[in-house]
Amino acid sequence: MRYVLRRFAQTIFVVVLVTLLTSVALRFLPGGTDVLVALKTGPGATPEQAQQVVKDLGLDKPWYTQYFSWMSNFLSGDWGTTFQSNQPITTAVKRALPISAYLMVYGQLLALSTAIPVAVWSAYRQNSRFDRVSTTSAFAMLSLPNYIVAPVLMYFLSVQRKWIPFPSIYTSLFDDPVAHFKAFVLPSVTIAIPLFAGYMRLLRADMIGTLQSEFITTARAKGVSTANILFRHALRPSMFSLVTSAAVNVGALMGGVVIVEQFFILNGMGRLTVESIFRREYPTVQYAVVVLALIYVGVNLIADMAYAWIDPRVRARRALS
Amino acid sequence: MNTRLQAASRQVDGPLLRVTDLRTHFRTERGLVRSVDGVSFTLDRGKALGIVGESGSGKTVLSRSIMGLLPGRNTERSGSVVFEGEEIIGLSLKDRRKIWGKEMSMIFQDPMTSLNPVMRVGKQVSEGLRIHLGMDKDTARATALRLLQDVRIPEPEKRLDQYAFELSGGMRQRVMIALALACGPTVLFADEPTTALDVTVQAQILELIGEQRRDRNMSVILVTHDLGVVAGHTDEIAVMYGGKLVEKAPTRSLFANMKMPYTEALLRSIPNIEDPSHTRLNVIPGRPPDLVNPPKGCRFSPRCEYVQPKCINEEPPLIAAEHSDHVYACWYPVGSPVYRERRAQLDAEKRRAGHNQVGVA
Amino acid sequence: MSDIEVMLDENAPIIPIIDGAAPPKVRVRKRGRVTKWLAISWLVFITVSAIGAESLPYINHSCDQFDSDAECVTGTKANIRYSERPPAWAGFSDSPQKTEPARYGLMGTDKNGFDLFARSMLGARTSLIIAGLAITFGLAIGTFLGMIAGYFRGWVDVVIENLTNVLLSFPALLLAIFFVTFFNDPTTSAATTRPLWPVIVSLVILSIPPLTRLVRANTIAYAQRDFVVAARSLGAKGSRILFKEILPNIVPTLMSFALTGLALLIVAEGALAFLGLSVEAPTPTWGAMISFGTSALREGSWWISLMPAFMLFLTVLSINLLGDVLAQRFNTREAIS
Repeated sequence: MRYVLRRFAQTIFVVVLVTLLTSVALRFLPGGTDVLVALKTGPGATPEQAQQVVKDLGLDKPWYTQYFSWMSNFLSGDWGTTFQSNQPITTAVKRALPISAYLMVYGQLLALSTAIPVAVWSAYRQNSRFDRVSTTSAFAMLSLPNYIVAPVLMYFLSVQRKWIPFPSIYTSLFDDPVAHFKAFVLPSVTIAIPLFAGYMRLLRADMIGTLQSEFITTARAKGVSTANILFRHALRPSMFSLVTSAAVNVGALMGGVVIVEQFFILNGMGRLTVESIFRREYPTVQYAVVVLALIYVGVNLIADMAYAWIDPRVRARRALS
Repeated sequence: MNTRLQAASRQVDGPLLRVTDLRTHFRTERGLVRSVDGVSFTLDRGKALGIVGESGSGKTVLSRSIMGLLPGRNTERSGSVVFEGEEIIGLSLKDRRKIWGKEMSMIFQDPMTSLNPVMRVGKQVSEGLRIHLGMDKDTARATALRLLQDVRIPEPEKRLDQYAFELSGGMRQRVMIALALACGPTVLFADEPTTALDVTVQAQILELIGEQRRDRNMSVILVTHDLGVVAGHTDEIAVMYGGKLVEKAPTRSLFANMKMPYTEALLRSIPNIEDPSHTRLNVIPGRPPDLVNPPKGCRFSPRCEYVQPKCINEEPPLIAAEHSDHVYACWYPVGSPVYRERRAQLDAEKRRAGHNQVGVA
Repeated sequence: MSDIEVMLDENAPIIPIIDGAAPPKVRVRKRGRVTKWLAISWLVFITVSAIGAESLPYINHSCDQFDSDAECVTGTKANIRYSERPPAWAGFSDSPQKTEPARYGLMGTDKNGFDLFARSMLGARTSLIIAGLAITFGLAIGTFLGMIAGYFRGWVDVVIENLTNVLLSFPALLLAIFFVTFFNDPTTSAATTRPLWPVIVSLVILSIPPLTRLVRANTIAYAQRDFVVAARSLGAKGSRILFKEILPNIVPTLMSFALTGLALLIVAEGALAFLGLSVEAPTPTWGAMISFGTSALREGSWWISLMPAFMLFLTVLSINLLGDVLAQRFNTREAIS
């Protein structure tokens, strides 16, 4: 219990720091408040307009007050509007979040569903041709950045053979499932490739270690079948690194797939953030980044708690600490 | 030979297990390691056989080899193992799996690493029941509970849902025993079952194994390096050295009338509580033989106190002593003229060397 | 008919079986040596080519070789007459330009008429310099921070830990994009030449947190060892212990991490370039070339994008291979292939 509280406190602290830094970052822009005013109102703003902008953005108050007002805005959902088009920021984020979520989920599912069987079999049949092929390919995949994979996939599946439309046209899952999946196929495969490589290597290494344990011999001597041994006896104690990695990736993928989103023109959080940075839509950047950071931190916390469920020894160790 | 073990075709008379010239060799970078090099013996139903030897004698490989548990890739197994009238060498993996846990079981040395750390104890015990006897979850759980009671684990209800790390060493070994006995095997292999336990617990575990053996009319093969362990709990003892069987006798005969100098050396090396303090330990000098290139003659010859030229050049065959159930392999066994002469020499040297040595009575 | 290789691996020593325990994993990778040397040769080739990209004959034919200046095609001099030609060996691809020559060069030419091979080597130079500088500074700063955090603990550790955690809470690429944009003067438009340092600084900031974490963990582990306690009991100061006792032990891990980090930074720089945030034309970088070529890719001229991509892939692969070899040599947990 104490461990849970401690982790929770740690998380809160990080969240506070993150939100603090992002919320007061506006103050440190080179060019100062004039830049922000110019962005909002265009060149040639009157002093009253300038004052208004500064007040809206909370820049006239000291940083701690600004922080609190920003936080209250954030929590209440009153995020203000974009500079250029005066659209509420919440709308933009709300639209982008599910797209990133879909991408992340599809990518993870694809990667995990392929990585786990391959890793288990590679560990079981170590040094067989299958193992050598899979480890070599995984290694090569780790050297393929997504901005190479994406164009290649696009070339072979959208240009040479026109199976998938390019750029991706996002349709909701509920409107047209086929189009929905077509839109997500290439991006998901692109992000799944490095994920697969990482997961496969991690799990394989841990499985190899576990398969050498005595309790596997015991299970054998009991007459347990090979499949049973691999997936019920050996897999669970080997999942630690995999779970950690998958959890970290949930957060990382939500905002880190900028390139994939840009390339395939999927309006997810990554693209939103980057476009906002380019267009100097700083408040949007603030809110988007905080949302992403919160997701990341939150998922890590959950994963941490999940260890205790997966491995009861961890539960015991934590109870003592 | 692909016959499956059907209950109907089992023979009820004759030895339960007959091992004939079993050899297990491993192909390694260094060469062919002859871990088990021609071992033969029989085991009757309900009897306990102790297999004794140092590390490197091949005793562990022997037990796993009989069961067929060794990995296939670089292992060569030859000879014959007939279990209840059926040859089990050469069985496919699927058929071997039918035997494991159901007809033959094994308990291992270190229960901490031999039990799955993330699976509840109850589930591990009942797993065999569900696989081999097809029990449903509830029956299996109830049976597992009864098994835990049989092995005298306190608060068995609670233990069913606990994990291995929550139990003490002795309790873990009891769980291993319960696990192994779950489907009522006819042979139990106990591979150094007490080595990892406290001395006080060792006796309890051995008692437990003996008790289960009698109750179930089950045969036990007890593999250990500790003569003390086999002394009180076996009907017969086989001594292994360098991959070969060097002496086999009913327990009492072995201790009363041992023939092989190695056996004598083993016995002598056990410290005697009645010796005066600071008595030197009687170690057997030298190291176990290299199993890739074993000595030409008797494998113990490099370390034997009574070694003669013949021992180095010719390997002694297994011959019978006074009774046919006592066999040994030695050219100059304990009690022979050559032995007695040499013994006298050694005793004289010891007396000259110092007052701290006490000869064997 | 095979079993789980619980006890024996082809090359493992036999003795442990008899004791009942699992044998150590001893594996000799004979074929690994060939790939190691291939990787090293490739990297040497790339580095040499990158350094001498303008002058080395096999890269940049000087304009003297051509009949007239109008024919000259190099990495730095474009010739529109030779634009968009596939590589000489790519007989299956056709140029959208219908004039002669049908193909050109080792890697073809891009839309402007630059020789892609020469330009890729120039791009190599940029990418390698940026990534190399970034990893060096990142190593220096990260090691320093990690060591003082791990050795002195206390509030220094708390501050550094939390800063690291905060930085790590943001997706890396977004962080990099943010910093690059931040350091580039926001009031300047995108068309002017962008300097090198914002990219380098951003990548440095990106590489510090994981390095700090690694070094901190290692420092803590080593600081508890007896030889450190012994040194301290002899009166050695903290800084001396750090540099003479702990640092030499960390170096092997750092080296393999540095190689992997270098590869990652090359990829990161490529990512930034792909988004148009890295150094601008006329200095080519691989990422920019790939990005620039995607429009041509859509029309079927694959070489413009994929040839630089291949260069990048080979380079990153080679570095990763070497990093892995190093890690295996020092037996760290990082090496699992």
